Amino acid sequence: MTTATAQPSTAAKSGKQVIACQQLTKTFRDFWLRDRARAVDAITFEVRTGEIFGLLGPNGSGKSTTIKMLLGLLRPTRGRIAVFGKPPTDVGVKKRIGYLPEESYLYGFLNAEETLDYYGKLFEIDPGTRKRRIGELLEMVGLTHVAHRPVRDYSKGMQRRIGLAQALINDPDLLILDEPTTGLDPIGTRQVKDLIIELGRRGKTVLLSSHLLADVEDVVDRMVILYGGRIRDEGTAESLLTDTGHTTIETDALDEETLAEIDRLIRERTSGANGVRRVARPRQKLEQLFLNIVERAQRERLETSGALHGGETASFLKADETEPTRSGDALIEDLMTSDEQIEPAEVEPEADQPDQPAERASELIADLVEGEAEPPNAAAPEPEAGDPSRPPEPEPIDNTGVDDDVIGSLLADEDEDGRR
Amino acid sequence: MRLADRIRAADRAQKSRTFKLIASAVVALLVLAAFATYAIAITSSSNDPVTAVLGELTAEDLESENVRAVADILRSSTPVATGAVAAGVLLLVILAWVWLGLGLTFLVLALASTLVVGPLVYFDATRGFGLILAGILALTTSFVALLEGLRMILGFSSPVCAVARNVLAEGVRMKLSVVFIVMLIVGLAALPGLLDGEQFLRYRIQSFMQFGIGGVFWLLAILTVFFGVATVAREQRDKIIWQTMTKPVAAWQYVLGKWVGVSGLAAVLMLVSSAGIFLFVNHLRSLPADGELAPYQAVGSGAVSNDRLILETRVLAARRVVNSRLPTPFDYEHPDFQTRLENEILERRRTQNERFATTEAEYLEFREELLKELIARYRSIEPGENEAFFFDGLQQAKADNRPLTLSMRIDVRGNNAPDVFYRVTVLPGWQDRVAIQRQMGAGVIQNFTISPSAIDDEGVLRIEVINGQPRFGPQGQGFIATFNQNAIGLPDEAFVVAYDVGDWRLNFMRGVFALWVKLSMLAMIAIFAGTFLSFPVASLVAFGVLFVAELSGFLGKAEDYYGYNDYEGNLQLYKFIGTSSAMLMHWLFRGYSELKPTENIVQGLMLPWLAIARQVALLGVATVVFYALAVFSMRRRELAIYSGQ
Repeated sequence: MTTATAQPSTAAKSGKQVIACQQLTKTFRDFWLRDRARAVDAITFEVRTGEIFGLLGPNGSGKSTTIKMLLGLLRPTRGRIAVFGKPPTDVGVKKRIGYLPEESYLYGFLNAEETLDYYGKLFEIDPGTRKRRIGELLEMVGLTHVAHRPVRDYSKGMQRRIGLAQALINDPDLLILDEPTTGLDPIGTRQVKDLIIELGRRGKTVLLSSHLLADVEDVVDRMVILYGGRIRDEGTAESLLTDTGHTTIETDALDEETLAEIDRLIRERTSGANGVRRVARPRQKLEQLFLNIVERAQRERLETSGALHGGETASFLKADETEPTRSGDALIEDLMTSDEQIEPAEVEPEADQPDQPAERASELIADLVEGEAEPPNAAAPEPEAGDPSRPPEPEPIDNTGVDDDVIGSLLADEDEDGRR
Repeated sequence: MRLADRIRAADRAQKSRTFKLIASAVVALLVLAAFATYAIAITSSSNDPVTAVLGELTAEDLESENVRAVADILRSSTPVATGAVAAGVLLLVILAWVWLGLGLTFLVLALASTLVVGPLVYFDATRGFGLILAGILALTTSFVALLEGLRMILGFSSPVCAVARNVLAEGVRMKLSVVFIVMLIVGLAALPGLLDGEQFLRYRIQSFMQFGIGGVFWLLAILTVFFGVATVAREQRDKIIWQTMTKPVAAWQYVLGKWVGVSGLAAVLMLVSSAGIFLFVNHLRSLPADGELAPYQAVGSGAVSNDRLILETRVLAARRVVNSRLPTPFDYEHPDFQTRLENEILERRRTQNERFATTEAEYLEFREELLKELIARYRSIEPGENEAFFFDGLQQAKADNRPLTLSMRIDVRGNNAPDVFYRVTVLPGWQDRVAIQRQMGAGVIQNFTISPSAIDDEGVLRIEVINGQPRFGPQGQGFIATFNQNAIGLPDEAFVVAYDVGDWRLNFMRGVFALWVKLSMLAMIAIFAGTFLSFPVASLVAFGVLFVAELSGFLGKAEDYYGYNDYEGNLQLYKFIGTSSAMLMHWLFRGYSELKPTENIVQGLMLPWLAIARQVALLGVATVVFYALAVFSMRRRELAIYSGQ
């Protein structure tokens, strides 16, 4: 699996209904049939084809219970559920679903290869395809070198990885991930996010639940926020997350004089109502630091008995394996767009860069004020300062070793969809 | 090249098609050459003791029915034919290993085993240990090969096969089941060492089969129950089932897969164990019996020792059992009985109660009591008295000219003391009868050899039993009769004749199959319990069912011995509940308890396919019922639980 710029897929909002829940309620009862807990309370939502949908909320908010009802592991007390238009207990429906539970519940006596083989057989996948997919998935989750070790000997993170692989063995149309990043290291977390985005691009539907909001906020298209078994808020990621009351301008490092100039300019333009509230030097994220360290260690060929940095997304999960052949013109257009778009990914993280000269800073200010000058990187789309509808830029990521095809196709989609 | 690389290369080689083809050809040629050498050696000389003994039998020897019987049995299994069967089986086993991709693995194992076991067996001090080790290695390798074969058969991409295959993997990797498998293999390998070499050969063989087959069945029954419960209940407890049941697996497929896996493991273990028992019994058979100088060579030329005779005709046999018929047909429809019944009722109305047996229920109850009483009265012989009994349908025994065995137990009402002996005379046949006189302990079965010449042309054998010993005294003392103090009873189930009708090897196979059918039903019961109960509770329930099923024959006697009423005839609630429950259990599991393959094999009694088919059908229906219950339980059950706060 490669790391790539996280970007939500564009949900086909007019797509077919994949999941429909109406007034879904689940009350757990004790031995004497007295109500013990109402885990889910009359929630209604739907998920459509190609959406990446988030069920968010704190522990005990009803996320896992909802998912278990969607999978037929629990029966609703009231309300209706349809998955692909059928009850969740329908065996035919389950052929199209991949499920990763909140913890990996695996047969400890099987090794990774046997585990995937077992689940592949449950889907009646033919031996050739099964063998190929097992190899690709093990490569993707970085467990090829420990494929013959019993799963009981795996660390929690490694078990999560094999759990993820088993959820993908059938190339599911609907992937249900319950707390997918729990127990994973930052690399694994990044890979899961990339995978979700990749699947979204392919038109697959993904439903994920999490209480680690930072892990999913840059992935989901639409979400519901649960608390106490009820939906407290719902909407697209943009509508729920965009803070329309503030504007952030990010530039290279500026000196005090320039900052004062900017403040003066803003006050002048807003008749003194607004000004620069806070100036800070951004810190590199811990996640990025971690990724860089691991990357360096792997370049130095340090051995590990745990999971390796995962490989490329399994080809059977990638768009190019199963998408219908596109016209030559479209491909050329994609390729051209991709070439243009690759450049921003090569920008070094800000923390690694030396301070910029004051002259260049002055030019930048002038650009901002006049709105005419070229941005530092001509290929990057010009952000419109003050446009509240735009979501925040994704964090820059070290793309060393990134598969160009994946990034290219990702960026191509960005361009086509006109997002970010 | 490192050792690990060499091993990997060898493994790749033994899995290649070319290797398998070449190895198959080489093995086939070797086995064929070995068999040809053996056959030539046997037919060209008197190397085989059996052939030698048969060749030495004179016309005078063959006048004896016993000698003829044993000679017939020995002739029916010629060494060349036996050798051909053994060579065929050996070839199949080796080919199975080769085509499972384990040819070189087993070759290396066999060589290593020979190197280790050979020196151990060579020295007297370590011979016993060496033989046990050899037995363990042989059983283990056979088990592995058979298991791999079954796994290969279950290699299809389907939920049922996948679940079943997974159960097999679980069976050999889960501590719980591995403990039982090890106990089984080590126990079976060590069992021959526990036999008493001073015992009669027939007893040694019977003991080995009794403990071997019985022990294997009980170990496998416990394993099946524990493992069947564990594979389902633990999967639910550990939530592993979530990931299976969220795949396209229907409840019926899941339960069926589990059952196929558990009963498949039981089948493999049963097959390996029974093959081991069978081969060792054949080895024991080739040892000298009591009264023999060498195998099949009795002391005194040409004669057959009593130990050998009983072994060949009663133990390693498949005998048909015939129950006795009373001369008067005791049944409800017989005019004599109806007259007797009417007279008895009239008599009681006159002397006891004028409304006696006026209701339908009372009438039927009295009719049954009277019939039982009349039969019991006939089967009870007063001191000095005699009664005749008949055994029908013995045409085949007469035609085959093989001796029959009369198995007989006497019961003395209220005095079945083991230290009191009774004099009994048995007179078989219709004319020129030769009396057989014995002293018998009450409640103990004794066997009498009966000549087939005692059977008449209609295939009926008449046997007269006298309570006492009338005989002519020595030196013209005249007729002396010694009678017992008490009446003796001859219960129907313990007064039978039996004769050999089939091959004991096939009988052995049928018995093993019947035992496996029992285990399969237990597996389904265990799986059913595991679908809705926790592991300890489900194990308890499944074991309860196992014991009730095993004891259901005994429970069926509750009505006779315990009843529903007190001494005054009043219905007692606790008795009603106890007896009704026992009778219900008996009714439910009668098919299970009536099938006693171990007893049949040990006693050399025939297990006809028809009888097995009937019992198997009964057990099959029970298995299907439990299967349906398990599927229902799985469909109704919520597999997930509340995980909130």
